[in-house]
Formats: sequence, C-alpha cells, structure tokens
Amino acid sequence: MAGPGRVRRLLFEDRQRYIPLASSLIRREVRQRYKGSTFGLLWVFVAPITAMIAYSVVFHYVFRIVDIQPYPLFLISGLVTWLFFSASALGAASSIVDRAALIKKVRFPRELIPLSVVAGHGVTLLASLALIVPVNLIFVPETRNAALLILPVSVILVATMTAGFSLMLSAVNVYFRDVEHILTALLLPWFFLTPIFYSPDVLPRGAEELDWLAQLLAWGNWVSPFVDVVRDPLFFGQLPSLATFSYCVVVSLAFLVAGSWVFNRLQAEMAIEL
Amino acid sequence: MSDSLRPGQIRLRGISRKYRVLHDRNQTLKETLIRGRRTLSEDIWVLRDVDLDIAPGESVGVIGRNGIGKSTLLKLVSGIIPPQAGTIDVGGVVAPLLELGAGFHIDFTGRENVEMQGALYGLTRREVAERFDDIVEFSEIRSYIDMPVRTYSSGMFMRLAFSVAAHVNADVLLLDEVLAVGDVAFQRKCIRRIQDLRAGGCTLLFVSHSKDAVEQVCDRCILLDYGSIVCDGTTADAFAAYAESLRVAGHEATVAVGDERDRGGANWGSGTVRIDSVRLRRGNEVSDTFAPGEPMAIELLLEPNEAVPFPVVVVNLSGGDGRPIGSTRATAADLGLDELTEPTWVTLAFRRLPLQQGRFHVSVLVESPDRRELYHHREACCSFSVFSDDVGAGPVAMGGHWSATAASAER
Repeated sequence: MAGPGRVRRLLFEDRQRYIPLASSLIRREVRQRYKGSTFGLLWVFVAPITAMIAYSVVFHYVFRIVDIQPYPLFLISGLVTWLFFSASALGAASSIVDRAALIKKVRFPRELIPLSVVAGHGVTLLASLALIVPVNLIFVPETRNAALLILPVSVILVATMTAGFSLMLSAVNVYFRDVEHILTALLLPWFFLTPIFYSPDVLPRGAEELDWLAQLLAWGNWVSPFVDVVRDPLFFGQLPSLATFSYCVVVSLAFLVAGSWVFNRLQAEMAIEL
Repeated sequence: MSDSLRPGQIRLRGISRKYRVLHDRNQTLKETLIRGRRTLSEDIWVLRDVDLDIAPGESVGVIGRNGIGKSTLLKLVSGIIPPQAGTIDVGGVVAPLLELGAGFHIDFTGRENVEMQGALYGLTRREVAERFDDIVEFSEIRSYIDMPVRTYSSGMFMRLAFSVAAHVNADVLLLDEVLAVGDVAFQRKCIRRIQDLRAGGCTLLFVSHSKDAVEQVCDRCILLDYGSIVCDGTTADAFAAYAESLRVAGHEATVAVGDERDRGGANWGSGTVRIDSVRLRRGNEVSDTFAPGEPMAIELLLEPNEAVPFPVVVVNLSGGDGRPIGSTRATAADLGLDELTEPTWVTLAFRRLPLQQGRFHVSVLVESPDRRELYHHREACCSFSVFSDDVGAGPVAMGGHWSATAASAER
C-alpha cells in the first residue's frame, strides 16, 4: 500500500493566524453556557456551591468522615479541581463529534475545539479560585502563608493534564462513539475514589492492613495528586510534597505528549469518519 | 520545492484517495473489545493518480457525475482530508466554501457569527473589523445584524455566510455548488463578486452542474470520471464530453414517440433522476402543432436511480429565437407526493394554451428540493408550433375579458 500522501502549503501551518479563532472559540464556549440565563456568569459559582453544601451535609454532618475544619472549605478546595477536570473531559469528549459540520467543511487547527472547551472550564476554575482564595484567607488562618504562591503552578499542572486527556478523548470519540458514555458512567465512581470529600491520610483510620488501599487511591488514580497539588497550598497552607509535585509534573507532561500524539494521528481522517 | 510555489498556485502530483466502505464495522469501543479487530471492508478509489496544475488567477470548473470525486478533490485541496498517495501543493490562503455557514451558531447574533467565521478562515480580529462594513453591506441585512441568526430566514443566513467567505481575500477559493442558494438577484450578485475576485487574481476551483454558472465564472473546465480527469479544456468541451459520458453510461434520455426527435439540445445533470421522456399531447393524441386556446399537456417521465425526496420539476418555454417566454415549477407539495421511487409521469396541463403564434422550445429540468443538486437538465428537448388564423402580434395569447359600457352610465 502506498504511504500517506503529503500536503504542503504556504502560510497554511502558520498557527499564529488562528489565535483570534482560539479566543473566539473560548469566548463562545463560556458565553454559550450562561447565555440567556438570568444570573449570567453568576452560574459559575452556583454548581460548586450547591455541590459544596450538599456534600458537606452528607459527608460531614451525617457521616462524619473526616474531622477537618472548616469542612465546607476543605471540600470546595478539592472539589474545584475535580469539577474542572470532569467537566472539561466530558465536554471535550463530544466536542469534535458535535461540530462535525465544521470539521467536514472548513480546514483549521482542529485541536482548538477540545482545547477551547478545556479553556472555557478553565475560566470557571479561575473564577472559583478568585472567590475561594479570599474566603480561605479569612476563615483558615494556616493559608496566610507563602505556600499560596505555588497555586498558579498547580493550576497550570492541572490544566496541562486535563488538556492532554481531553485531546485524547475527543479524537478517540470520533472513532468509538461510546467513549463519552463510558466516561459519563465512570465519572461518578471515579469521584468517590478521589480524595475530595476525604483526605487520603485519614482514610485507613489506623488500620494498617488498609495502607495499600490508601497508597493505591493516592497514586493509582492519577487525579488524586492533582487534587492535592491544588488543595495543599489552597487549604492547608503548605507546599505539596515533593513526591506529589514531581508526580504531577511528569503525569501532566505525559498526558500532553500522549494527547497531542493521539490527536494528530487520528485527526487526519476525522473528516471522513464523521 | 514549495518555496517556488506562488500564492494561488495549485499543484497536484499523483494524487490518490480511497474510501474504505465498511460492511461490518465496530462502531463502539465496547464492540471492538468484545469482537476484536474483525471488520469487513472494501476499498473504493475515488481518485487515482491525478495530476493537476492550476496557475494563479485561473478559474477552473469541475464537473462530473455524482460521487465521482468532485467534492473529494476540493476537500483534498483545502486540506480537510489527506490523500493516500501523491503531493498537493497549494500556495497561499485557501477559503473553502464547501458549505455556507458551516460555523454559524444560531444563538449568536449575525455580528458575532461574522467575527467567528472570519476567525475560522484565519482572519485576525482587525481584518474582520476592517471588512465588517463591506460584509454587512454586501449581505443586505444590516438591520438584522445584531439579531440572533436563529431569527434569520434561510436566504438571509446564506447571504451573510457567502458574504463573509467572499471577503476573506483568499488566494484560492473553493466553491462547491454554493451558488444554488438564495434568490436570483443574489445569485447574480454572487457571480459578480466571484468575477471580481477572479479579476483580483484569486484562483478559483468551482464544482457545479450548471453549465451557465461554469461558463460565467470559469475559463477552464475539467471533467472527472472513474477517478481521473478525462477532459481538461474549455467549458463547452468539457460539457460536451460530459454529455457523451452520460450517454455511454446509459444516462442519455431516450426519445419517446411524438417527441420532436432528439434535437441534440444540451443535456446534463447529476443523473440521480433522469427525465427519460418528454412529450406533448392534445387530449389523447401526441402532437407538435397546436392552435391557440386548445388544451395542451406537457408530460415528463422521471426515472430515479434511487429513491429520493420528490424533486422540483421545472418547465421553461422559449421562443424560436431562444428568447424566454415563460417558466413554471412544481414542488412535491404541488404534486402531493413525498418520494420518487419508481418511474413517474409528471404532467403540466393547460386547459387553454396561452400562446398564439410561433415556434416554441421546451426545456425541462429536475432538481433536488433544496435546489442543491441538479439532477437532469434537458435544454430545448422538444419543440412545437402554434398556428393562428388571426394575424396577432407576439407569441402570447393574452386572453382577458372585453366589455363595453356607455360612458354616461358610469356617472
């Protein structure tokens, strides 16, 4: 069989041309979500706050899982990372298929579509953090600490991992349309296996035979260290451990590289598969 | 190599593109995991070893039957799909107009969509802003530009979409049958704009079934058949070769008894639906001479290659000198039919023939309900004469009712 053909063109691969497109897509992504609603962008806060209240009631006042005070702030400091990750992955998974008409008719850098979904949720993440940081500074004295300065780096790590994962999902979903449904089904148990409403070090409650489970939850589920890398400075006022931080750097870069590679491999024939 | 490429130049070398038709495809990850990699497939080569050189500023029509690879050629040049073999060099900015308004979002205003669409074509925000007034001006929908696109009529939508694409100032413009939208006045405006772009040095690749449209905008035309370019020449040459290939492929209309024999009129279209026969009747008898005010019926036998939504049928009448006399069309709603699945006679009946004197040619065409695809056009496929005893001027029997009233009775 003949090898793949080559396409060469002048100017065409000039990515700079598409910066305005990227910004338009992101603005559209954000506006589309809140357009036509009475509270507009205030909705950014509604979902995390509702979740925070509900989970606080269940996991703190009903089950008393961990004794961390103030629990609602501990919870939301981990929840923001999860909400960003899960909403981005879910939105990106179907993004290419949803825009089939565009992919089939116009040539532009297609990775901008899933990436704009992630960036749109990134805006939500930043807005949430802009609210949580001052609230934590007021109610959690430990956070008044220079460790908070690492937070932007943590957010970049989370965003990089999420972007890589989302690129991968969006491309694979073109070929296997059930990927988005599988993901939907996985997200709920995944949420419970991620230390968000509990903390991994309090999990075994002294039961040493459960230590392997704690370790597995902490490192086997790659989202866990990313929750920690944000929550440590944001709520506990401490730098993430070197192990957590290095894990996040390596994993986020690995996802970015793998995601770009998968996307590039699959994107050429996308217009035909859709 | 590519450095020597000039903006607007297109160079294809040994381009091949196949599609894989999967008979038993694993559509889901679940199935793949359960059944493994077993898929039955068949490769269909749409284009095979195609070479094509287009110089900057040239405008080239692409014609051929449905599914013969015309759109594939455009998608390859635009980079939407890659070739399996060969090299494609395209110089400069390419604006593919494969479907107008592909990036439009109906909840956003016309203004927002123009900005988005401009960005899709690779324009900077400043370039869009500079051209914004021209775009809106051209689309003629200024008073609606800040309304959501969902409130637009389909005509307004298309006008705005074409308008953006026409102002990209691309080096290469790819048009896929897009002129079949909008009203006649706007279509003319589109053609004028395309001619202007051409004059400005823009290279044009234009897929169409309409000989008129290709003639108006192209100085060269290629005919695709069985994966290769079988004719590369003037529009007239290419359409002649196309008519010939349709005849060879069994698409040529047969001439029914009572027809004014095959006059060799032009005959083209995609062939999805063929007008197999056209005949003229007076009552029960087939005829080609009529008297004014006589009943007359024009009957068309439509033969579909596949079941399609019932097409739009158009009958045009022109005088012996080729001047248009009149035109009428029937849609599925007019005929009370939804689908065309079997050979069907469509009849246009006149209780009283509104013509009084002269020789007339009948042209007929069928096209898809959305007017995107011209199935079959038979130009001047039959003729008839009308003889009148009265010496009247002009071809039309005016009719009308005469009456007289005393002027005094009218106060």
